[in-house]
Amino acid sequence: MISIKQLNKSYKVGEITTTIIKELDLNVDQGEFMAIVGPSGSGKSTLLNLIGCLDRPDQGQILIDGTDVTKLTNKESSRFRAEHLGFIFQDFNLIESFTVFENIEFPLSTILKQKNTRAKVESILDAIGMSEQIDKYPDQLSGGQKQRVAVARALVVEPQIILADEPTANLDSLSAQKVLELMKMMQKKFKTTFIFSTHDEKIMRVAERIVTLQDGAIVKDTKEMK
Amino acid sequence: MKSLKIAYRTLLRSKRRSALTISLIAVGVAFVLLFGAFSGSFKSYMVSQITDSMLGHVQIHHLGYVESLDNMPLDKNLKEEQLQVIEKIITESKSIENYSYRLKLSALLSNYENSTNVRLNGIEPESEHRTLPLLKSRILSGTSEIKEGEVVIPEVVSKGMNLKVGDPIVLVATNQAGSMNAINFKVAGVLGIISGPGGRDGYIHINDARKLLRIKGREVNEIVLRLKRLSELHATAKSIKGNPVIAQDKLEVHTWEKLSPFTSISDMLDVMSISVQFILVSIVLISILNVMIMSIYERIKEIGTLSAIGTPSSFIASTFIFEGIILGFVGTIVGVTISSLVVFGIGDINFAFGRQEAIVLSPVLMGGTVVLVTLLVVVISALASLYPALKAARMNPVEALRS
Repeated sequence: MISIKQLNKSYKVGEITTTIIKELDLNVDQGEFMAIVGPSGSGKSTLLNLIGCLDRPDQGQILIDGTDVTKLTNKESSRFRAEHLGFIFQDFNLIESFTVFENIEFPLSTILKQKNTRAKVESILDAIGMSEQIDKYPDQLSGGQKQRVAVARALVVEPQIILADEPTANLDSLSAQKVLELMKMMQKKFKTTFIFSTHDEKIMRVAERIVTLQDGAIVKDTKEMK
Repeated sequence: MKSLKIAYRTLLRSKRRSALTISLIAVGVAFVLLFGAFSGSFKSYMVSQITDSMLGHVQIHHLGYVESLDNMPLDKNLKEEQLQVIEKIITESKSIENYSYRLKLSALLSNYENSTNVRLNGIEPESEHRTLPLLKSRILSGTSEIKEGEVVIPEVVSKGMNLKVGDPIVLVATNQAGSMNAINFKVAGVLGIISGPGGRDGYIHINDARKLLRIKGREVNEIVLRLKRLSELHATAKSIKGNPVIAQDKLEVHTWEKLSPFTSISDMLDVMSISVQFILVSIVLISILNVMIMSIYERIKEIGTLSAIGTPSSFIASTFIFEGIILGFVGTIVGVTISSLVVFGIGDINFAFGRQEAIVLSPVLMGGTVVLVTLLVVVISALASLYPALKAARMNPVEALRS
């Protein structure tokens, strides 16, 4: 489903060029629940940004269901993200001026221009146990509740892949556990591919596959070990 | 309309900042509208005073008469044949309501003890009053309905010579041939002065003027026209000027604007009005630009999120443009409300301008000006939001999310 070949990415700050991703090859199958781990600066977030079409590599290829996303224009990659990818952020990143319902409904109605979206949003709110919070604003929710809404927002468009950058980093252990269970449940229900970057051992424990990065290269992949 | 909703709610989130920006725009709008209302009222009052009680709307003279008006020349009078031609033009014109003939002259006025120079208009009272309906309002005492043997003197002469209504005087004038003539008159009225040429002139009957100057026939040196609509001023003047007979007979046609120094004051008010509008544009531009740039920095993560989940750049840009437009529009509504309350609350204002006293201003907010200012503010608000909006739309989502 995802096929990454000879991926390179470096950043130039002043005169210094730092290589973040180095000749990386990776294949991810549909429905995998995969964690990317590694020390800070190992390239976890950069890899997620590249898979998520938010950034462009210097070299290499990223094929998602046969589409080389590195060749897409800005407008095309924006559309591709809307239709095929979902994002969950460490800081939840909900739109503060929108209610829970509006946050979840936004990608459906505004980006994908779908109509009669209410039933779908209510169903997903029911699935994440947030039906009673439907009209609340983000500042009226706890961290765990916000992240569940963020998960629902990512899932509502039924993407093939969900990319989550440290999704439990800002949550207490109980909330983190609930969010993890929710994601796992959704993975099984929708057959969605989940790719996380994380330092959280709880995620690592539930992950079906763990890829360890160091200095921009994969140093360990539990799938290959099997 | 989701972008409008986001814009509206974002503004509500920063209530204090939004209120401050709206107040700034409102003050600017109110200033422009009030300045326009007061200066417009002043202008229309002055124009109406000048045209309806002194100059009329258009004047016709012999070529060169206006240039030498200070000498009150008698060699540039319009003769009977010319008057017949002009009368034909006037009666055929659909935009002229009334007209009046004047024979202007300079004379020596004596009260048997002292004497002074006066400028006089020999008039036909009925046609003069039809042409200048506010002439009567300038009468301080007595009447302006003069008969033969009566004179209406300007206030300065009345005070300077200690003359009252009913007092006898003598007017002495020199005719074109250089011979002098004197006739006894009775003061019929005292006329308040008004700014501009002719504002300190007295009035006698045109037959008396002809007698004093020993003129036989219908000679005059000024024809005053009153138009049905002031808006047709330039078109009418142009049409009269364009008549081949006028050019052939060496006649000149002047609008009141060319004859009155108030035109420069009026032009100055227009320039000031444009300057005030320019200040308003600057206030709106700077306020909106400032608030939008602050909004971008505050919402940088939200912009990154919207961009990451695939929101089109045009949608992101439109939220900022709507924010600016809402601020501008609400500011304008508040400004218009403030202006209306001030205009309504103040009502009529009495004041003096130069030597002219008891000027009454009745400021009104013109619908056209309100619409124009509203459109101007909304367009400027949208333009001011454009740069921040494009900046937000072009933002790199990775950098925005990392902030």
